[in-house]
Amino acid sequence: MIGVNEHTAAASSGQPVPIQRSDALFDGGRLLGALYVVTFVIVALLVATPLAALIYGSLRSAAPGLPAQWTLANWAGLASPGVVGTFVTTIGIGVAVSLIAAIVGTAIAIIVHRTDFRGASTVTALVSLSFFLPSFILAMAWIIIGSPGGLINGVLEDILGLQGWRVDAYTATGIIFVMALHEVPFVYLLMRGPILGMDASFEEAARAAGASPYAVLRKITLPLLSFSLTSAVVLAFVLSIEQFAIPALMGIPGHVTVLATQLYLLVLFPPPDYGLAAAIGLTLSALTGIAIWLQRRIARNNRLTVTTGKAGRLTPIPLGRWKWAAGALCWGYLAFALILPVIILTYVSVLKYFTPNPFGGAYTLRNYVFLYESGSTVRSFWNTLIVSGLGALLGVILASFISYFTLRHRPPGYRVLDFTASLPLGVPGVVLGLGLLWAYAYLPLPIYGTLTILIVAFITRFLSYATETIGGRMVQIDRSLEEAAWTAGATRLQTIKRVLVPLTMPSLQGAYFLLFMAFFREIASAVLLYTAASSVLSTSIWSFFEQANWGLASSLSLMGMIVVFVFMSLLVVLTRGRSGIKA
Amino acid sequence: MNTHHLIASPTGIRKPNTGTRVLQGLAAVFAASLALIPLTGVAQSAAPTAEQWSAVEAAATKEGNVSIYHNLNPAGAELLANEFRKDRPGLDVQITRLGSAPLIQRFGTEFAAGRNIADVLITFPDERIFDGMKAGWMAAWIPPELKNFLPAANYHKQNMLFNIQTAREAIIWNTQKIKAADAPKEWADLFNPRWKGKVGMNPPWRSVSIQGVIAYWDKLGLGDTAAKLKANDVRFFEGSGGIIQAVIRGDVYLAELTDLPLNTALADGAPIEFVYPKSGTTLSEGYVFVAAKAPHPNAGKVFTNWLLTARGQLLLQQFAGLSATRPGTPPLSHLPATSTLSNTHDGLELIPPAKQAGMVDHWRTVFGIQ
Repeated sequence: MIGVNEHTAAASSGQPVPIQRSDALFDGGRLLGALYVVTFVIVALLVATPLAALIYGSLRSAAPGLPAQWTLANWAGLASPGVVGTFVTTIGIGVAVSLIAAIVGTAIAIIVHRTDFRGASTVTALVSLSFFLPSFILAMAWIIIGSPGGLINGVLEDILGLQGWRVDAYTATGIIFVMALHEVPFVYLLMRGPILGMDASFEEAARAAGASPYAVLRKITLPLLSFSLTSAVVLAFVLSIEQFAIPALMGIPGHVTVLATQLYLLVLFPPPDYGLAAAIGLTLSALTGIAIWLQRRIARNNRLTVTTGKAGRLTPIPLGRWKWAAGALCWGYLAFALILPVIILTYVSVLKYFTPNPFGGAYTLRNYVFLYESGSTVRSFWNTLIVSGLGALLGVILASFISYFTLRHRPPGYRVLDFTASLPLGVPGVVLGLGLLWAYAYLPLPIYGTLTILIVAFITRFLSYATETIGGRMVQIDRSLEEAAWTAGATRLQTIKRVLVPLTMPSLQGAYFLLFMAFFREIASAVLLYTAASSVLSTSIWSFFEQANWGLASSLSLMGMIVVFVFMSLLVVLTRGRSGIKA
Repeated sequence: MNTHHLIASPTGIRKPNTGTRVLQGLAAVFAASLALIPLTGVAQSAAPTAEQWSAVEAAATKEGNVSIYHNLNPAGAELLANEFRKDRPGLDVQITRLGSAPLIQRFGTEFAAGRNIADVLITFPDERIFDGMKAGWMAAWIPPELKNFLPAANYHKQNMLFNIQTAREAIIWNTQKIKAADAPKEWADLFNPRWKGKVGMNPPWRSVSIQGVIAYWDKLGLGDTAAKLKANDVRFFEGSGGIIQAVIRGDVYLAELTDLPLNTALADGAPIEFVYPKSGTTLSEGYVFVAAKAPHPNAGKVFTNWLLTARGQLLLQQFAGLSATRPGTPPLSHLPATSTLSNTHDGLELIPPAKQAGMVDHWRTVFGIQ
């Protein structure tokens, strides 16, 4: 083992310092070792608690707490033609969505952060804001726009008189389109940190050698981002197969069935089949774990280190004649994913009932008056800010430790920690919510029915968002930077504070944004755990929506967006000077 | 101090002499026990006396809080809670809303785990509620106001589950898309090829109410309605909310609808009309019960009884948008009272578990959703 003192001594004596991965648990001090153990235990408990409840549920003939027998029938149900057939549709939609989202999200991140694109700060803010929109609200907006009785058909038929031209959002194409819109910001936020943290010298060298911008992108930039890019594809795929609101609202009318809507029906509607739902959820979780493991294997074989100690400054890539295409992509995306839906939300929020003709609308401000007077809404705003603000912070801290231990420190068992942390990601929210309810209702912990359980549930569910975001940046940082610090006499903790944290700051920020937004809009696991005292905004919006009160759902969504925007703006202003990050 | 003591503590008793104090004390304990038994779980055969009810109200005020799990219109439920607070100052009400199925799932889990949060539960039931009745979910008691209801409001005379509102199955249509002369009148109109691709409904695998009306279609001899609607390219939507929005928008022109959101839409002037077919329709009965292990049992009873008062029923109807069950309650502003509809049937009674599973399987098979 070579600790800091040995490093320093070896360096000062003029002998070469061996560069090798530290493989001892307590290298660098007892504190790190203790932190590793604590991190491992927390992650294991967070993940194992609901998963154990689901495993138990999948082996019982009725929900936990009810009279039941042990059975394997639920697992046998996985081979039924219905599940297999739906699985194929789900995979098809998931692949299409993840590829589109990965391409568009990465392209926007590169355009905004690596080129001389004008309006980068605005695009960054708006893409981040679009991540807030709950999936069912986005689906609602696109149903209003693209359904058979929607705005587009209204214009085509009533205004342009084109009777033969019709669009129909209730199709697999419609689902893929809206899901991709929904996941692009996720990919963007995941890719932002690694792109901002890239070392310019590789690209500069390629340019100096005469490579065209396209060749630099294809042969240098994208391969260097392969860890994050494969993470983005895997995570976007997982998100798309567990997404239930969009296929439920747009697929059911068009008879397009995916696994998530099947799970939704199995869990939430009579006669329920919790056991089969748990078995499907656990299978998806295992598949996700395997996908993440494969992604690690692929990434491990590539050279990913892009931040070294060499001096270099990112030179913006000139867009030249491509600036219009870049602008069309960024602003086109924002028009479809944010601007148009927000206009629709605003319109619907002041209507008594929907009409495609704004001149014939029955307008009202009653929804806003109700929200203003509603004590429970005000409480849910505060609860949401606490859960999202504090929960995201705790999540980022935990994810930072996980990423540090699995990617930098690598003590014994680090792969188990990595795998464990990724497991909940694959469990669809509606099933994980069930596991969390079963687990925390029975555990003798004084957190049931409080905001704490929501924070615990959300961190469990979305931990991978943060670990992948932070990890994507950590693998880019060359070990020589840490070793240089040790050589200069810094301890491991000082090195983390002075070298790693500043260099990973863009990803830490990105991870916080991701978690904050994900917590802000989460419904599936919140709906089975919240109480009157711990109600959050997302469950209120879902309740209004479910009861056909699209006006209240829209107005509350808009209010939520304003709060998110203000909160995030404050955060950016407060942290701007410290991170030194270009927007 | 718990409820038992409050009920057991008589007030205004003259001071006894020392010789009779012990006997009187024993008598008081005995009387208190008699009063206590009906209010703590054993089936009660009579409503509480005024004195007993006063004790419950006093205990409720001491408890200070009542927690309601419900599936009512969320905005309406908050307004309803506000009215209750006005009528019962000092007794706060906390409301938690979920859809019927997750609501029942959650209550059942909490009951089994001993995590008792809800005092009162308001929902449309499925089999789990009736199983829960046998498993001890509900307090057995008779609300003082129950005497003003028809006997059927007290489910199976068990003194646990009380029918407070009713949803009905209807056909609705968009008046901008369908002329008055072509308006549907009967269930069979949903299968008319004229409306191919223009009919909407909530699929039976996500709604017990729809299962009930399909069972009724079977009873009417309408044939394989799944196959007929499949042939008519029926579009399914997410719940009553999804359906009424689809009809208003014109995605479909007509639809089968559980009338939960109908009165509100009509009151707003939405371009829709409705009919409850003369051949009959099914009802979905909304129930309330007080939890047997309620943390605030007396407050739960006070709230439930308030909901059964003439004012409570009127407010429930006004804010939740459904027909109330207390006789004499004026009808909804734009829909007829259930009592005035001819040929109504309890949908739940038409779908025993075996039939329910078979029906859902058949519909899933016809529509390729397994």
